[in-house]
Amino acid sequence: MNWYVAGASFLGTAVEFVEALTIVLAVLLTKGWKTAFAGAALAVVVLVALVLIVGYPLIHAVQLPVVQFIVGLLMLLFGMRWLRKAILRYTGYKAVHDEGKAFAEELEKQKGRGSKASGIDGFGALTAFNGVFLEGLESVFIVITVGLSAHSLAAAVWGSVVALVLVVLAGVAFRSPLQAVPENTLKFVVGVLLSSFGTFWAGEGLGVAWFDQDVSILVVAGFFLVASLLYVAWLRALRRKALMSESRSMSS
Amino acid sequence: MKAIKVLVGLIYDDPWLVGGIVVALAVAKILTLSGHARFAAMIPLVVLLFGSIVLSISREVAKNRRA
Repeated sequence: MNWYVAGASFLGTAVEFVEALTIVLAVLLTKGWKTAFAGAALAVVVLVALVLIVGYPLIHAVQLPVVQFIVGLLMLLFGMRWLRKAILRYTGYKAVHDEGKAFAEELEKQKGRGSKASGIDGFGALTAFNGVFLEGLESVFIVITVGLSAHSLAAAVWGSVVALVLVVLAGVAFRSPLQAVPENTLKFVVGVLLSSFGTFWAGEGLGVAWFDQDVSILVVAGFFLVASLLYVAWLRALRRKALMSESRSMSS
Repeated sequence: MKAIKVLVGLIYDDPWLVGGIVVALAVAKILTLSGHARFAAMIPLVVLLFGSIVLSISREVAKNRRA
């Protein structure tokens, strides 16, 4: 076993798996495990099929920037919409989602549809699929590149498998504590995360050079988080002022 | 099919947000094509994307005030 190759593959793919896990966890917490699992499982099946059918030439056959741009654009569209809604709810311009009422309504709808209802949200499944497919594809590229360049593909595969197992175990461990987070806070954070991943991938697809590569995702997420919180505070102050002047004019 | 419906619905519901995203991506592409500004494209991209959220929300707030 070439330990250097295994280590390089482990580190490289672990970063990709953590990114995929973040998206799958986001879908799991907001749309349920069935949706997250369906999207992630379909992505794994498509990836395995691609690797088996195309093999090593996959690295040349797939135009990674095109995939990155499409996935990034979709993530941006969904993530920014969630972030926008969460900001509006925080500031009181939109009613806070009543989860209990929504669940009862959804249950009634499902009953009306009969046994056809699968409980899988197509939209959420697409998001999970996109995240796992793109990160999985990048991991495959890392394994093939590192493995072939050092003539030790088996070591590269093992390094990647260990990274995958550890990341999945971390995901299982983090799932329960995250479920206790209030719904709008969760949607706010998920909106920030999806928008950040979307910005990074769409930018990569367009040829934008990011500072320190994947580390930029954290910087972008930090910017979106701070800017959104400041915007929420400003909108709240604005609303409070408007309500106060309204009540003053009513009393006079 | 449902995903396509939602996507079309998204553009119809919030053209300012979608328009802002398209403009931000177009600006980033132009900056990357200009060669020397390739590395600098990331800042306008991130700022313009957040700007599209601000634009969309400010329209919603204005609509809310008029109502």
